[in-house]
Amino acid sequence: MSDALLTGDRLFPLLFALGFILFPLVFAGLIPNRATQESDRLKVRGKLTALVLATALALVIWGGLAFAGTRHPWAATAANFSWLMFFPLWFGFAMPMLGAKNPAWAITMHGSAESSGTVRTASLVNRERQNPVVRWMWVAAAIACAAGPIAIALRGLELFPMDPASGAASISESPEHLAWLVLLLVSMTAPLNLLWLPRVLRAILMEAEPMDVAGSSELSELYARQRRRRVLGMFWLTGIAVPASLGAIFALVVWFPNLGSMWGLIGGLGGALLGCFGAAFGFMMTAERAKIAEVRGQLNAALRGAGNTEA
Amino acid sequence: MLSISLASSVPIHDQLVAGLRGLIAEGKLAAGDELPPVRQLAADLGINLNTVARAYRDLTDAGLLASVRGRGTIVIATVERASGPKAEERKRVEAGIAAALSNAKIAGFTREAIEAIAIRQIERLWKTT
Repeated sequence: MSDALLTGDRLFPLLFALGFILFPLVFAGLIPNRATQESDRLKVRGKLTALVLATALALVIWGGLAFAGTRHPWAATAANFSWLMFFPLWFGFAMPMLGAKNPAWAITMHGSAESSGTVRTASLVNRERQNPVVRWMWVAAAIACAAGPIAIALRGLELFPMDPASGAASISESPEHLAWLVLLLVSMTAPLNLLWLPRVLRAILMEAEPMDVAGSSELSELYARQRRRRVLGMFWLTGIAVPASLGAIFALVVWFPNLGSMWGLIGGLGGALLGCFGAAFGFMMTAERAKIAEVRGQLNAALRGAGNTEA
Repeated sequence: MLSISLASSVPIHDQLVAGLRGLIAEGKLAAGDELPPVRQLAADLGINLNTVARAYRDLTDAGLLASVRGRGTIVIATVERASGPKAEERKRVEAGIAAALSNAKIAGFTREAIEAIAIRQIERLWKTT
């Protein structure tokens, strides 16, 4: 491999993609196997084999693109984007395996209808009224979304330098001006966050919370705590952290273009960190839902046991 | 809490209507209380949206619920009305009791057993109001 491949700005996106490709196999492998029946164990084994083969294929594609990328720029770009193979690996192979390994995960992934038995109980509390995101938080989100585009737009009030080497005939054709225009347009999509985020939060609040037959308060509290964490986590991550950090990096790029490569590195690392945090948060919430489903099963089993004892 | 049974021969819609009527009659749902949105209740019970929507609509038509802008579906019925039940409600209730008693007799219940069930239900509903 050439030295060019080993430079930081080439190596980082490749390792990033490698991590994403390997993640479904590592994560699904670490989840304890709760399948008790022999037929279920066989099913898990089959799904594990499929996941291993699919991951191996993805690694071959990744490696091939990384190698070809040393000679062909298109292959280098494709290798950087090979992290997208995470999605088919995760949703197509890892999640079915998780469901086979642990029935509580299957309940979390497929909703309540398949698992709640014949008696279904629901709380009559309107969860829309329990939204923990209050008005001042929306003001903070609006500021986080607007600050970046405003800071970038302000740069437009100052003159852009004319670099004779660039061959630009006017200021509007100078590379800095073009970069400013592109980043301004991209950053102006951040306020759109405020249009879809309330819908996403509402969807979280409306997500099925099937109760045990007795409608125990213990389960209600578990749901309420988890729901609050999910809504607040989603809000701070996508409503504040992402638009604020994107806006800040874009603004730094247009105001201090000489340090462009440093901003690129910081932006890449920050973006990767935010992405990893978001993924970890999502998995944590799914695991919590699985735990709640287990508690519900235990409560129902205890109630059935008590009924049998009485009988 | 509202429960339904998928194993029951009673249609889910009828169980929902009866369940909500029961909660209002017991005073567990009072005038002004908000009900969950149709989508939430349907998701929690794992049933079709339209079934819940139809149950809400029937209870709205019966004067027990109302749709209020900005608040969703709320309970408007009170357990006790100063004027007492209307004549047509009296007829409907009597017909319902007659049908239930006929079914009980056909099923082989004794008079004493039915009286015990009726007294238990009356105690349940009227003790809180």
